[in-house]
Amino acid sequence: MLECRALSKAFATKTVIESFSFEVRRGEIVGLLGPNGAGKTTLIRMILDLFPPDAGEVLLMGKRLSGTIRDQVGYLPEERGLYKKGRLGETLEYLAMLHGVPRAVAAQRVHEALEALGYLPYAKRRIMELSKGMTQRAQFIAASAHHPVFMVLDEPFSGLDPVGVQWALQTIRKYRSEGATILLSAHQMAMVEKMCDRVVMVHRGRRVLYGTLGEIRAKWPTGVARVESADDLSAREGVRKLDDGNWEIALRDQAPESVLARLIEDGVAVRAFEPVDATLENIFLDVVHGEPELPRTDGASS
Amino acid sequence: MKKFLVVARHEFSTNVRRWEFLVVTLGLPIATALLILLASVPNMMYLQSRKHNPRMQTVAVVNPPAGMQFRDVPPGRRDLEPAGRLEEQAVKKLKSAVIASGGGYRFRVLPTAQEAISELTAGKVDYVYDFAPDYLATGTVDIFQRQRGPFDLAEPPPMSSILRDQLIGERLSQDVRERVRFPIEGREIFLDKQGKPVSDPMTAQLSSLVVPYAMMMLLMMALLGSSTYILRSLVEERESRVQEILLSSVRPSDLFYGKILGLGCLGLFQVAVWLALASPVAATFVASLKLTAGLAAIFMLYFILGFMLYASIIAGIGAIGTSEKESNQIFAIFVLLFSSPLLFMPILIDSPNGWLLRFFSMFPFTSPLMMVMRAVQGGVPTLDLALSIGFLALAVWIGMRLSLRVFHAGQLMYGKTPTPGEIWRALTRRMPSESA
Repeated sequence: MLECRALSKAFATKTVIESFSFEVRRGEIVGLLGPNGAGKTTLIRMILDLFPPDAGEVLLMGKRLSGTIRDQVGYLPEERGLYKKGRLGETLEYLAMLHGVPRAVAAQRVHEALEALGYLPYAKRRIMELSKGMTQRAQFIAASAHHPVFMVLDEPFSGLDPVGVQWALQTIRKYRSEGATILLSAHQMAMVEKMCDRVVMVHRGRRVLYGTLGEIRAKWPTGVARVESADDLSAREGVRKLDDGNWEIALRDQAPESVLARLIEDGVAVRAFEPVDATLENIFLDVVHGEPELPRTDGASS
Repeated sequence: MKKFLVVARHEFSTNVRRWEFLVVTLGLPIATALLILLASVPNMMYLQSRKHNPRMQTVAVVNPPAGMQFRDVPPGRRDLEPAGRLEEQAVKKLKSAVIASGGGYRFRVLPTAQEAISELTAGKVDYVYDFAPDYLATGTVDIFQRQRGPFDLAEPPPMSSILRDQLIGERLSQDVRERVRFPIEGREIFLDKQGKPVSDPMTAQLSSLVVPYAMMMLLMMALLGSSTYILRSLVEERESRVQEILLSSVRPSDLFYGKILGLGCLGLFQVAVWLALASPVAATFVASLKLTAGLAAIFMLYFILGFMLYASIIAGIGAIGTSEKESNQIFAIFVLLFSSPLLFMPILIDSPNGWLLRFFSMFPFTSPLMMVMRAVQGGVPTLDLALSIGFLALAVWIGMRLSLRVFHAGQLMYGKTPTPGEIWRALTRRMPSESA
């Protein structure tokens, strides 16, 4: 569905994206991860043809983005926005029409979408009069009313309360069940683990992780160990406090047995010790903090 | 429907229903009409009262030559005008019209200048004519009057005519007396460039001034109206953070041209409403100008091209300005450029085919105004006209393309004003795909 081939982008003298390649296959949900400032937004903007890449190319359904293909793309930007003074129904119809949907069809689809959310009574209200939660949900309609086959969802859970997050999860699953292919950028690692078939991570403009979660975990040499101890371990390197008496220790290429032996050797009263697989969040943090050295994952599973 | 038309339609239909638009479009002419009405009522009442109670000025005469008699002059005696009768003098016509409702004179002979002057300062008389003892030899008369305000249109008494009549007396024949009083029974005949008499020369002269001014006013009103809406639309989109959705949906050019078309039409619609509301006055004026089809075509062509040039600049400026106010300040520079030839108006009127007017009528930022001015005066060489239209069309094309680049770059900057370097890069770098 989407192929990004060796994309590079620099602003003035700063390289933001460097020779970045990945693909999203038809029907997949692919998570795009990366810390703030890693280059995710620039990558998304190049995919959507908002910025031209300095090098490389983006192919959607085998073609460069053009009018007809653009009409099949849905975008939920991180910087949420709808015309504040616009009326809800009219604004959503307009945004659907910009994707080539005829006026009558757009009106019908928006009507159905608002009805499904129970927002029909608000269709003629100005958007600035709506609550933040309603506006967030309306944004999802704006991204999907033209029935896109490929969607870019940039931080879809940000600003949503727990109920809203659940609604967003269901909505994204619904998009997928209706045949949409999705590139999902999110900071909520748990959500990404739940929803995504594969992930690609960008850090300092370079691709540092790419593959299914299983593939990444298999390649990632580090895990953590959960330790139950009444002692204070916070001064030890690589230790994170979970709650009272529960700690998480990064193994960092060491065998769990040797880490446990070291703790006992140091006189720590260990009540329980359980090695666990690295979570996506752990891997993310390790990559971001540069600990340990990044493993090469060139085209691991593409 | 083409996407730029979707954008245009949205921009027009959204803005035309805004209360600000309705207030300005309908409220402004209504307020103006009310103001004129309010001002005209007391003026009319004053003129009516002057008609029924004409103003009589009192003239004190001191030491008049022996035998001279000064009878009161009733209001409306136009045959005593000192300048003679020149039918086609519009200025005189205007002056006559203004004072027609007033103007009579009452004469009083006073023994001394001192007494007359004290009556003048006391406001009992309006003029003092103090004849010198050797008046008949020298014609010396000291005329005293109070200082007048700039809007006091009261005429001095027709003393020359009165004195001339009495000096001639019965010494000359009736015909000669009449010629002495009115040496010229004038008829001014104005010829056009082909030597044919111009039936209404004043209108022709006025139209050469009024048409470009009217053109400028219409263009300015349409542009200022549209620029306000274009700037507001861009600022609102920036503040609402909706640009990314728009630019992911349509090409920048669709958005750019759609806005110019939709909001440009809105500005023109506003001017059309104003003209329609002013149609009783406007129709009389247009009829008096005797616009030919060719002149009307030139007017329309320059209006549209001029509008496109300035509207594209507005869209580019609107995209880089952080606020409507800032963008308006930048645009003011172009408004000055547009109206700059008016600073040279005396030279332009004096030499309508001089190099200065030719330059301004070729320069795209001023040609919409100045070529129309030349065309109204007539005799513009076809080559000049073709070159001027060509330059303007080229400027529109270049302006649109450059503004589109700035517009696209500015759209994604989220309220940050780009530096000159960033604007330059926007102008020179490759644009995203513009394929349909």
